[in-house]
Amino acid sequence: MTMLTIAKNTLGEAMRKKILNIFLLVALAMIAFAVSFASFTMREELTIIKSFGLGVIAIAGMFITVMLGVNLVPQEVERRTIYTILSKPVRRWEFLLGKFFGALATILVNLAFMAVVFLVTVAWKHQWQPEWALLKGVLMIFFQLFLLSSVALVFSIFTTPVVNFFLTAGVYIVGSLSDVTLSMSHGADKSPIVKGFYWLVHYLVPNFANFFTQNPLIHPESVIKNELLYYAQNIIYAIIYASVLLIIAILAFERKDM
Amino acid sequence: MKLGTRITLAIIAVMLIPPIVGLQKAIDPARKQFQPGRGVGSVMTDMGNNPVVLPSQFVAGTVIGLQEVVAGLLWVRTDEFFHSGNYEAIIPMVRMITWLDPHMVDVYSVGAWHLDYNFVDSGQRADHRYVVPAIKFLEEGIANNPSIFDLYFDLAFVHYYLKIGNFEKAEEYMRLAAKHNPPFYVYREIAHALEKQGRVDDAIKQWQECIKIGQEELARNPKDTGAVTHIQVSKRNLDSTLIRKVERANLGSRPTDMGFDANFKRLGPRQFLISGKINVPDGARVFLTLTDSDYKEPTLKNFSWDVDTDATALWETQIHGISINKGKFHKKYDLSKDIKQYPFKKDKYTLTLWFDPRCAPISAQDITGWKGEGITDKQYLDTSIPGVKMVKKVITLNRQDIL
Repeated sequence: MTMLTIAKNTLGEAMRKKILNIFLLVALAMIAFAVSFASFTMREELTIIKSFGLGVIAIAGMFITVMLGVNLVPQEVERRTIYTILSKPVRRWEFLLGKFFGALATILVNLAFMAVVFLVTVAWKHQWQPEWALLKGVLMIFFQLFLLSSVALVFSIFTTPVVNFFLTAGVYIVGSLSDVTLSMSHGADKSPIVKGFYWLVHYLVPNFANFFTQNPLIHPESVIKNELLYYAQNIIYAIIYASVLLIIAILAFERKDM
Repeated sequence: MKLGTRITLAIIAVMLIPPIVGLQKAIDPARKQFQPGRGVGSVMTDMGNNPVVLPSQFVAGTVIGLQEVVAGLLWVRTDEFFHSGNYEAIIPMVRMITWLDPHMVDVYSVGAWHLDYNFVDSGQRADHRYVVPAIKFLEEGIANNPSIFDLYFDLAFVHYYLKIGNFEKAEEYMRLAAKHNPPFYVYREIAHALEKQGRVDDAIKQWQECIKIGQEELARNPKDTGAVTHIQVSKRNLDSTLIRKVERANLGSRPTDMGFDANFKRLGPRQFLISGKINVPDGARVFLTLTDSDYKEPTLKNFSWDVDTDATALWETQIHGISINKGKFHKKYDLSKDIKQYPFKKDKYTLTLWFDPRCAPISAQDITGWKGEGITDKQYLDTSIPGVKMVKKVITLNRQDIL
């Protein structure tokens, strides 16, 4: 119950943040702007609008998540509100998880806004035929951001928001380079140390590239095997990985001097 | 939090790491079908002699998994190049786009068409050296999109049928297109490709098949006006083919002497006149190639637009060709402004002029037959293609004859 109250409060506060609102408005405008690509065939236009729309949602979602995540704990410390909260019968882990789920709810609301505009834009270009399958892409983006926000939360225990911003962005980029890390962890011509290093990077750094599933949604004629299994594996991956990160965050937060 | 709880949580966290690794190992093999494109880093090594410089903001986009977005934006930019006539810039762009998103079927289609038709000389003749790259590009597109009819049909119709006049290959790819739920016109074009090969009985069967396919669709969906039109067109073409079959049945017993001859006359440096005579009705065309005497079509393993810039290959066939007017043909060629396309760097050249009845209009085929069964010629009858009779004259030229 305490956790829920903190989460609600975090959501309300985040939705009033101007910078996040600006990110959201710019993203919404960009998605709607995609209809200006009008000098192509119907299929080309739809391909471009879908790829552009999902891309904007992913980028805007990433920025919103990072901006939100890096400030979750430090802001409370800076404003000293954390001391007031923790002086009440609120356990540290409840506070931390409350903040996390509040951030997650904020991300969800933002994604929902963008998804609605995106679906309407696509439908408008497609003779008002809604393409609900595109929601699978938004779902995958949500779980990617779920994982990313847990990374930002862990770093926010140890670092300042500025350092956290770069650390989280760095992890996101490394975690997006799956093709590179996977290929570098194999191959007979590479030294065992190099292979071992990339193996660790590939399997232990959160693999954000797993969630890039836009292509078959942009090109619905693509034949995909075991699509549901892939989505399920990724969702489970995100939940398990985020659980590990949340445990680390809780353990670190418990021992943090405040 | 109690020490015991903290230790338990730490143990749980450690125990969750093997499942994470296991899940990642399960996800990796399946990921390729969701991310078929290649990141910029992994394609740089494949560039070879065709360097492609991708603006840094696009590189950043591909790094964070937005290949499709980058591909889409590059395609928008490419469209601007089409409108501004900056044709040279387009090929590297389509190369990069299809690397980033190999499911962008229209990029393959437009890119191959661009290679085949847009690099032209001052007389609007396409540069033949790009034909093989265009075909390779489409073959790559087909390999990346094997379940979609579009690129099979594009290769068949736009390239083999219209551009090259290889109707056997056109039929082969049209039949492949027909396996992937195509629109009605694909079935009709198969019949045309069969007729172009002179396989009239097979063409008749295909028209009957077209009618059957249309009727089946109409039974499923009685409001399908496309099916109605398809049936009407197929019936009309079936009737025409049956009539022509009867009319052309005895052409072989009374062959027409083509009286074919052709001449080359130098008018100036890289300027010459081709003239000649042939006994076929107006509207038909004589084809011409002027190539290095050792010219061979390039054999490409993979797509590359790196053509042999020393090779000369003037190709005046299919939609080009020299028009026949009252039994005569002539055309002046001025290649002096097109040194890049026709470098003439070799010592010997082969000029080939021929009339192919398979590519002739209906009025000419009523005399020659579908594949030249009504043709004879005292000097230049050519039967090198089994079952086909045409007239052909080959002239060997020296470099000084042209320059």
